Amino acid sequence: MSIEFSQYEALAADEATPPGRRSVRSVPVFTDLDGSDIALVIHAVVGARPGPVLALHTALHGSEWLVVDTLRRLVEGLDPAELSGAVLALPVANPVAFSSGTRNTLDESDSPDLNRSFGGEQTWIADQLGRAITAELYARADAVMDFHCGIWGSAMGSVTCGRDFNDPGVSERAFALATAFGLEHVRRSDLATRFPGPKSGVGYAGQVLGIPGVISEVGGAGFDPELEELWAQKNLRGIRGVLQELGVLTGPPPRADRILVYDGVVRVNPSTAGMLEPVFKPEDMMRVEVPRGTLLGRVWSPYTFEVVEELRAPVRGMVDMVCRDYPVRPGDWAYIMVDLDADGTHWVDRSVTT
Amino acid sequence: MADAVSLLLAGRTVVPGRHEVVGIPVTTGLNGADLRLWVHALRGWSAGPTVALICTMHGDEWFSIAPLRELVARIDPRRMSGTLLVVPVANPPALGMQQRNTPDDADSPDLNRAFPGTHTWRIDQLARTLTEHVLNIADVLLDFHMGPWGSTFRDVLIGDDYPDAAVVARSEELALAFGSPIIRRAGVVRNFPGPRSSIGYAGGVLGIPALGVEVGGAGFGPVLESAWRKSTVDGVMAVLSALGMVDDLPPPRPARQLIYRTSHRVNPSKGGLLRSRFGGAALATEVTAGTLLGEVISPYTFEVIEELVAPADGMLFYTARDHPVHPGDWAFGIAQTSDPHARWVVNEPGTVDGGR
Repeated sequence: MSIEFSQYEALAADEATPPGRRSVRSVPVFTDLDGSDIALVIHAVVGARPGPVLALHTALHGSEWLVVDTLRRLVEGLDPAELSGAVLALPVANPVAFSSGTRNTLDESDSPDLNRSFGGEQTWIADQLGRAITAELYARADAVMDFHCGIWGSAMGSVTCGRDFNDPGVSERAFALATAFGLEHVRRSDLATRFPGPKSGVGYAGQVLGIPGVISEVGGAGFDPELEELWAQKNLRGIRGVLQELGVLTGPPPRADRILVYDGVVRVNPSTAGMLEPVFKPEDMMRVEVPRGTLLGRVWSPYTFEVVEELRAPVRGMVDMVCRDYPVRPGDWAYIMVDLDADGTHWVDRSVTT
Repeated sequence: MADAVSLLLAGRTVVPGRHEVVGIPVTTGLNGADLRLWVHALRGWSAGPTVALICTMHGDEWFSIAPLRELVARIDPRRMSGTLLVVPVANPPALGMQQRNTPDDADSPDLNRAFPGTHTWRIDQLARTLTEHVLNIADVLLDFHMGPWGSTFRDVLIGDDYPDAAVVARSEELALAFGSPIIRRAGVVRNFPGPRSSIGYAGGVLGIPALGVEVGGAGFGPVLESAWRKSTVDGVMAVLSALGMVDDLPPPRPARQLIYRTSHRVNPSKGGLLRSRFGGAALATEVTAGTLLGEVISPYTFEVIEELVAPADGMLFYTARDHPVHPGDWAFGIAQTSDPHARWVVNEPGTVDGGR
């Protein structure tokens, strides 16, 4: 992949992030009401040789914590001597929401979701964090990866890139990075203009800063330990694939021979609160194609024990998000399906993507 | 055995041989919804004891709801003596928020510290409703706790400071019958969880045997979690069998059961990512003093910021998986085996509690 990179020299020239070294620095953002000094802690692994800078962040949403430890394993496993370029890693992008174990910051902000607050000009917690991430991470990077995952009880299995950035070159580079992640399916969507929108991290980086980015949504918490380890390995392999695509690491990325490219997805989440009970084992459902009408799960009342809702596949689709048994409120995560009959869903040969 | 008569529960008649689900009004919430306490009443065909099973007193401890559902589906009241009252969700507002306590500004927000319910906070009204309609007519109480995401438990708590020594003895008999490998016998009225807890109030004031049951937790995978659910169902059936309410023969008791008094919480004093060295499969296993149980890693710098070490020889009555923790969150619990009050109950192979 040909990518213009411009950030390495500035990074290597900074005495806090010398070449051939790994370092950690803490960037103060604000003081919270409990007296805590809220800071962004950023790890830098700077190669001895110049090259692109990849920025990674996890836990933009505080309840999506499983990948934090994956990032630790990545950083500890990278040898600066092997890198042509650098990796910047922010394991907890939203310390306030991470501390409360919630998706959003628990203030009365009109922008409590950090992944909808980039470019924000207010002084709310999410706005300030978004500005700090932009200044301290995005402004020093040539490409971005944002990691999400299932909260306790649900798990995801996709990688997403934007196709609608103002600069078509950014969209193309983002697609190349997404396919380099190594999955057999890539969601290519109107990320900047529709969902998660221009104020999301990757949306803002691509649309405003012109930096290509990828969203990884792989795994979730509360499952069989071996399953969770498989998801961690998938993320680790995916990050290394992106680094190989960028040329930070040597070797070809693990791109799949055939890749399902899609945009249309359908959420199949409960409308009634209760105890969610999947019909199939989560590991048996992820990436499985099911006919329309397939019973995916049930919700039963924890009070009367009656089944109060059935969750069925509304389309012929591929399961992209699964769940285990857990208590849910209306709208909570259960299933996401790739609509296989939606316009734009198609298979591409790997030769098209390189 | 004499035929049972109908049970009148909050104005609803439950005839012998029937399972009725009764929604008892508690209050009206700020959201306009009626807050109700749902009770499954299973009235046996013949007369016998009344056993109350209460779950989700704490809103984040929902793990036992599913096994109680299995239990209710399994029991045929036409083949049962006595009455079973099952309250799967004792604290609906807390379950709704998946928090331990009721999310209001009560000065007694913990339902398990609020019996018999004095004021008009939701928590007090729930405690009062439970007391009036369930505890006051029960002969035995089993209160199910624990099972929040990330940590798992395996013990039964009983009191040894009830005014009536016979209640203490009967509580221990039923805890042994439940089949728990670890039984804590301690001052539940004077000390923990106190006189206003469910079992403290039941044993201390109402004078009925009471068990605080803690089995299992969420986030450990289907193999372990299924086993814990089965242990819960089997344990209740064993208690019902010991009380002569059902004919089912329970599984044999463990080869030996520890009854102890002194426990140690080995919980983090710092927030971070808990890395466990003794996960769910290590429950009820023995460790020695000085054993490294887990570490807390900073999710920010990735450094190890705390080591959690066993302070005494004992059995692990709770453990945890890797997950984010606040200071004080549940990690590891040691039932001290070297305590002079600790003793082992050794069961002959195949020991069971026979039915009627």
